[in-house]
This record gives sequence, C-alpha cells and structure tokens, in this order.
Amino acid sequence: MKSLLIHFLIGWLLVGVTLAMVGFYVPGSDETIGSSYLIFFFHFPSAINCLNLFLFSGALSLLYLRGQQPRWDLWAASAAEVGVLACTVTLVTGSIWAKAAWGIWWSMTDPRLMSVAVMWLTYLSYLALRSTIDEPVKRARFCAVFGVIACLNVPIVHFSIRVLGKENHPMEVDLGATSMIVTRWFGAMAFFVLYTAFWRLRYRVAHFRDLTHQFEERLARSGL
Amino acid sequence: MRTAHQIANLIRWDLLREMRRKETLLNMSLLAVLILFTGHLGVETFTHHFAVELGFAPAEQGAAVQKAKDTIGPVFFWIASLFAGTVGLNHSFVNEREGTSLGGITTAPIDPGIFYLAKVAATWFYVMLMQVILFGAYVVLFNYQAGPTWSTILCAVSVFSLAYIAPGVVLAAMTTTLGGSGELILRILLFVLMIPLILLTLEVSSKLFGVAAENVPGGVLMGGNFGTLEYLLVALAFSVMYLCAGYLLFPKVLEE
Repeated sequence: MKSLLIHFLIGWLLVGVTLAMVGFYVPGSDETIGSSYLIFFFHFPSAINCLNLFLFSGALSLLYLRGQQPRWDLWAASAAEVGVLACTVTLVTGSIWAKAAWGIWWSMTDPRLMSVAVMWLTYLSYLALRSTIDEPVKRARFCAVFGVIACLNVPIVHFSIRVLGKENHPMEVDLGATSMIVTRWFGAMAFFVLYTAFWRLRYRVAHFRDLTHQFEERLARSGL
Repeated sequence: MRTAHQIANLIRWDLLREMRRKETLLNMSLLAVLILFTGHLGVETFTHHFAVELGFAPAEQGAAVQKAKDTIGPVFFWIASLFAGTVGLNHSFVNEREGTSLGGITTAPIDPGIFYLAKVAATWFYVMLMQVILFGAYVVLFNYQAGPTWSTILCAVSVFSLAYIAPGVVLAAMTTTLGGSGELILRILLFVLMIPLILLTLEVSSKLFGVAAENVPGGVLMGGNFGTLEYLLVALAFSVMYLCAGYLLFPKVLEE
C-alpha cells in the first residue's frame, strides 16, 4: 500500500512538472489557434498511454490463456479499465482541440479521431463482456479470448482508417520545436507513471474483490 | 487429406441438420429482407417528400428518388447483411447448446480447430445463400441495374462475409453458453470488431454500386486512392488473420 502511495505521489509530481513546462517552457500562444494548442501536451500523453495499456491488456490476456493464472486476467482487466480512462481523456481533449482548430467537435473523416473512438468502443465492449459473466473462470477465459482479438484489431483499425480516411488532424501548429518535443515526451512519461499507478490500484481493488467473493463462497458452503 | 475429410464430414453434418430444421436460413433471409424493405420505404418516402418540397417537376422527382436509392441503398444492404448474419451466427451453436454438447467437442477425437473451420465454412455457406436472396430483393426494391460488376459484387460479398464470420464463430461459441444475455453481447462484440471492415465495405460499395466511379479516388470517406481489387485484398488479409486467430483461440473457448 505504501509503495502504491509513493507511486501516485511520483506520478502527480511528474504531471505537475509537465504543467510547469507547459506554463513556462513552451511558447504560451500560437499564431493560428492561440493558447488552445497547449491542450496537446495532455492529449498526446493520454493517446500514447491508452495504446500502451491496450497492448499490455492484450499481452496479459495471451499470458492468461497460456498459463491460466487468475492474476494475469486481473492485470489484463485493470489495464483495459485504465486504458479506457486514458482513451476517454484522449477523446475529450481531442474534441476540445478540434473545436479550437477546425471549429467542430468531431470529424468522421479524420483517421486518428476514428481510430481512437473505435478502440474506445472495443474496450468498453470488453468491459461489458466482463460484467455479463458471473462465473470467474469462464469470465477470465472468455475475456482473455476477446482481449486478444481486440488487441489484434488495434492495428487493423489503425491501418484501415489510415488508408480510408483523409488526414486532417489539427496540424496548423508547428510542434517540431525542441521545447515542444521535450515537453510532450516528458508528459508521456509522466502520464505513464500516473496511469500505471491507477493500473496497480485497479488491480488491488479487483484482487480484494476476488478474495471477498471466495471468502463469501466458503462461508456459504460451510453453512454460515 | 484426413483433415479435409473431417472438415467435409462436419460441414455435411451441419447442412443435414439445417435441411431438417430449415430454421437458420429462413430466419436470416426474412430478417435481412425486412430490414431492406424498411430502409427502402424510408428512403423512398423521405426523398419523395423532399423533392416535392424543393418544387421538382414529377419527372425530376422520380430521378431524385432513384439517385437517393442508388446512394443510400448499399448502406441498407450491408446493415441487413450484418444484422441477419448475427442471427446465423447465433443459430450456428444452437444445437450444441440444446444438447449441451459444446464441451463434448473437446473429448471428440478431432482437433477443435478443425471443428472451428467446419463451423466457419457451414455458416459462411448459409450467409452466402442469404446474401443471394438479399441481393435479389435489393435489385427489385432499389431498382439496381446490375451490370458487368456481378462477379466483383459476389467476390466482395464472399470476402466480407468470411471476415465477419471468422471472429463471429469464436464469439458465438463463447456467448452461446451465457444464456439470454449472450445474444445481445454477441452483437455488441461483433459490431465493434467489424467497424474497420464496415468502412472498407462502404468504400467498395460506393464503387460497385455506382456511387463513385472506379477511377475516382476514395468513396464514402473521400480520402483513399485504392481500387476495388486492393480493397478486396485488404479485406481478404483481415479474413485470413481472423481465421488464424480463431483457429488458435477456439480450443481455449471450449475448455471447461
């Protein structure tokens, strides 16, 4: 518990440093879209980390199918939950940025918006599947199978939408300056630390919930 | 050779059962035609009212309605196909569920992957028959002038059906054990996985059904510069990938 608290503390501290870099290190305003471009430094880290978490979830699902260890299933589910959180942050910040850059909240023809939205829907379905099945072993096995298929679908979504869509992501701003590159990758690292802290927290919650269910079952079997 | 023989036997067994019950194909086709019919009613009524409101002459009204049918028709065709296809997938394990024999497959002296391939082939066959009926209804209701693109449409329909049946059979095997909620969750899981394929399908449809010319880059999404053949190859690659994943994952679904 103590290590998790320290993990959270470091995560929030690093996010605080990112905030300071956004405030004092990168240019505060852009010629075309003003200061609204600064949301990018929160949008990009969440986008990168939602991809990471979904890939972790897929890999852990595969590990579960190989070894049938319940802890891999719990880690995979927790990664998917935090991945959905990161994906939601990505979609919300992306929409705010699109409104500032294009004047609209959403564009069906933008490949990146579509890819992230499809991933979000896929992993929401994964969580829906989890909530549908009560029996723990069956839930773990089926969710692992869907987790692997969903993970395979991530590059398919990425590729098909890249091929079909029109590239019009808000790139009116030049993000190639050194200060911007440093800030966005530092932000990605800071959010990675924070999201992994949430991931550990969700795992602990799932683990204790599992233990509680087992305890309740034992009590029920013993007639208490 | 032995594998091919086993697959052929399993397909024959599935088809014989379907011939006795006549349930899957009938239900699928009926649902597909009903969806298409409702879509046709909506398109025709709304476009007609719209044309009248814009003050079109009677001859122009007919042309406007036909143009709307040509443009929106393929969307209804694929919606009908996908929705009806999920009925077929749901039915594909109905016998195993009723006889509670799904787990028994694991004790049978065949590779569960072979059973999976046979199930995919049998379901694909039903869905293809349903698509033929659906396409007939489409030609009549949407007044489609089928030209030299017949073979390409058949090819596109075959590839796209395979691409959603390949993961669909794995998901159906999973959800069939979940009782009433399984049917709903199967649709949710399948539709969300099919979004990239739907995008590809719409892109190909816009060319095949005459909304965008073959040499015009892009269709619905306006951005791609692939021809029909390239899109079909991409869809075929997806199908093969889903088939391989399904072959490897299906035995895990059957484990008790």
